[in-house]
Amino acid sequence: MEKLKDYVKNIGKYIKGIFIPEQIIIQDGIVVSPPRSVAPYVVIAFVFVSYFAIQATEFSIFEVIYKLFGIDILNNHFEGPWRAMTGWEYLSRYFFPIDYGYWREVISPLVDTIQMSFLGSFIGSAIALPVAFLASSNINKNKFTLTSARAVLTIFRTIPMIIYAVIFVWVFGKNVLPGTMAIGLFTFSIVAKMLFEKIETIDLGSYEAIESTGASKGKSIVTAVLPQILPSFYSMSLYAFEINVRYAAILGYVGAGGIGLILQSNMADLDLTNRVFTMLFFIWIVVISIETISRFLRRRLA
Amino acid sequence: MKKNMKATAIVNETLSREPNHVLIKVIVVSILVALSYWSISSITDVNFNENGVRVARNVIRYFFWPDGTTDQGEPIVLFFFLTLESHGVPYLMYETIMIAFLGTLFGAVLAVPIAFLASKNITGTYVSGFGITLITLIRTMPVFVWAMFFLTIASGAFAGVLAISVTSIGMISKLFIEAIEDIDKGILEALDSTGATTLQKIRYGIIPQLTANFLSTIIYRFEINVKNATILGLVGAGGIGTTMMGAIGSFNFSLVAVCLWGIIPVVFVIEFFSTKIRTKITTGE
Amino acid sequence: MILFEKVGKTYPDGTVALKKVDLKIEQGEFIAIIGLSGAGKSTLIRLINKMHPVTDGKLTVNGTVVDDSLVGKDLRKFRRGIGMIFQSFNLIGRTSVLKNVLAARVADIPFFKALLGLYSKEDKIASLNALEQLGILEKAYNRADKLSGGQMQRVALARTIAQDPKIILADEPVASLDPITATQVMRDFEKINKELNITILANMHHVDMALKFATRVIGINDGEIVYDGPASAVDNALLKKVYGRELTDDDIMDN
Ligand SMILES: Nc1ncnc2c1ncn2[C@@H]1O[C@H](COP(=O)(O)OP(=O)(O)O)[C@@H](O)[C@H]1O
Ligand SMILES: [Mg+2]
Repeated sequence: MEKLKDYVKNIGKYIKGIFIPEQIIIQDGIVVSPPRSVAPYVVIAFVFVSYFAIQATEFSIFEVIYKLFGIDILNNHFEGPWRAMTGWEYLSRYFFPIDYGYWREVISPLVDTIQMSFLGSFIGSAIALPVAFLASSNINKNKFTLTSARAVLTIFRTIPMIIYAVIFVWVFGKNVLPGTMAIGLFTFSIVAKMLFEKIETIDLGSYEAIESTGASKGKSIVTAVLPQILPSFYSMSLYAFEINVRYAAILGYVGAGGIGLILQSNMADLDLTNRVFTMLFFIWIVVISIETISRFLRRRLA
Repeated sequence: MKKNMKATAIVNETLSREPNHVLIKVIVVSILVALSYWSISSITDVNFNENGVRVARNVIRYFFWPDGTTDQGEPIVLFFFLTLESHGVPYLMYETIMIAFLGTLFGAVLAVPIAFLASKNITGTYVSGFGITLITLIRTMPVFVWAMFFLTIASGAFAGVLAISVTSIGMISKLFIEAIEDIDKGILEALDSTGATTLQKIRYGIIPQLTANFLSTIIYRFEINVKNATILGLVGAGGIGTTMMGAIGSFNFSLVAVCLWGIIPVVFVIEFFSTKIRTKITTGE
Repeated sequence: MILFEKVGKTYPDGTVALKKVDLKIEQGEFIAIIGLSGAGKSTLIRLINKMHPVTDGKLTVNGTVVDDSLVGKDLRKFRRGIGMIFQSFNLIGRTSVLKNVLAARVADIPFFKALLGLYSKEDKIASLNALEQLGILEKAYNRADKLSGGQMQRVALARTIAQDPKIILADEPVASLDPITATQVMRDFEKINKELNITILANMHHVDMALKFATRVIGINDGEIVYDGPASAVDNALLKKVYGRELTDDDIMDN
């Protein structure tokens, strides 16, 4: 009881201690105050933002409980297309029994997906290489082309890939080309960005040295700078390929070719959803295989 | 010293020793060419039409000059972009960022138990192997698939939060696993060293380093999550993507444009600060 | 012959680095340029191959007037006759020693060959010869960034020789080397100067090195030439004029 009283009495002090660390007195009365930590403020800010985030996203654990078990704890009357079934019933009907035989129809669009990713990554990276030099402030001293190159890269990079896919589907119809182009554009913008950041960190002494021999700017770049960045470039391209395979799987959703095409139709039709597991399994195999190969190669490059 | 270009024996001998990477180069180039050829062969049924060109031209024109109107005749820019109401782009971007924020937060929380499960020194070879497989499985599923899945038990933005939480686990738990395995080493070292107690070692040796890595990873993951959250609306999982995909479906170029006007600066600013803060953390100011 | 006539250099930011420099350098001279840091040594050297443009007066190098009209192809052709050596060696990392030396000949080959790194057999032999002359032929296929400092500067020298220049400009070539290696590298310079009759202009931080190897010394103080004469005539009084103070141990490299 005494202890509790003591604690309550000092609670203010403890709280104050969180924000302003207590001064420590070393010998001879020398007072040291430890640096103030920002951690408590960060935590408070997090709690604060979380409150708004929960409101904005209508985050509700009760909804999950309701949808899974059909129990509406607070009588919230959640909207939901599956009000009649509990979530478990729904989920089991959704995915089971697994339609194993469906794999035959998965292979072809999946191969399309791989082809789209490969070609898009390849072409996108190839274009990124020269543009990265244009966007490097230590190589390109022309303010206008430098700024333009960077602005273009920024815009291309911040627009979601799926938007390109939609636009290209409008232009080229529903086939693999829009997907390939969307992936190419996205790869171009991220590889060029990563690459110019890399170029800006390298030492240009050798470039200066080659230029001093009377070689043109272009030849000096390919002789002195290129060998220094090529391994990083290969690694970045492989990394982009890795991401792209994962993205390509959904591009078909808007008609841009690949596995996403059938993913969408199967998800939309309740009678077909038991194919989904078969599809996911194959997507998973492909993503993992490509990731494994890519990581192996990237380790070799490092 | 002679200036002539005649090669001495030793020079000739050295020249003959020149390492020859031709074979490997030929192999790599052949593989790339073959893969390209094979990939190009998949491009069939391209029905490029003049309508498409017109659409493409419109997309670009409306991107810079979105002068379309709503059904009620209000200018799109006014009705969707210059408004703080809940159907407007500013609010939708706010919602998008909040989805990413909460998703990152829950992802970090969920990562803790999974990291313990996947740490060799805690659960042993077999269970940790299972944990690592689980993480890979979760991580490699596209975020859309997760969103579609969660839409069955939650609606709109909430499903988006869940999808983003789950896809964030992979990256964050990897960090935790390393930390947990580090702490174990710390304890071992503490046993044969004098001075600091184990607790002190963890407090001063591991936590500060972990905090830096943790912050860096979380910020990076948040950046990725914001990008993902902008497109989750494609499947109806909230954020600005819902409005944007609706606009795409109805060929409302002006509305697509103002949505992009919201996305581009926000993604850019977040990317900019994310990169800045992370370099500051890793290079130590 | 290099001829400076009232040459001045003002950087775009307004810094006056050189004032009214008059100099006449004959083919085959070995010149050391000494002076305090910031005196204008690097600027003087870099004017010669137009790494920085002259802003005042007239500079003539082997009959070519180095002025604003010397640009593009003409400038590049002019630069082929002038080699340059740097304090930090400026080798290309991640590539072999031989490729580094071959890089000196990239100016003469078409762009696509440069891109693919395709060099002719003559280029390779010339480069290997240069490596042999500097005694590092056995390192030809090693990675350049895995060599010691002295070896790196030798590779840089070989690269310059492979370029077949009339003049070599060296900006503090031995400043980041230890005294023994520095002396060896300076001997290489001496050899190149004598045997190939290449003019050498080297900025030197260390006075004793400069006096030991150069035949002529140019002292610069605050952008002006305060001494120009044979190395043998340099004495303490002169050095005081160049450095504006007594020399300290730091200015002398023991060896
Ligand atoms: N690129 C430049 N822009 C502006 N000022 C410069 C530049 N390079 C050198 N300077 C200035 O010119 C003066 C001479 O420099 P420098 O020739 O490098 O001297 P040194 O090589 O003798 O140390 C110094 O005051 C230096 O700050
Ligand atoms: Mg200097």
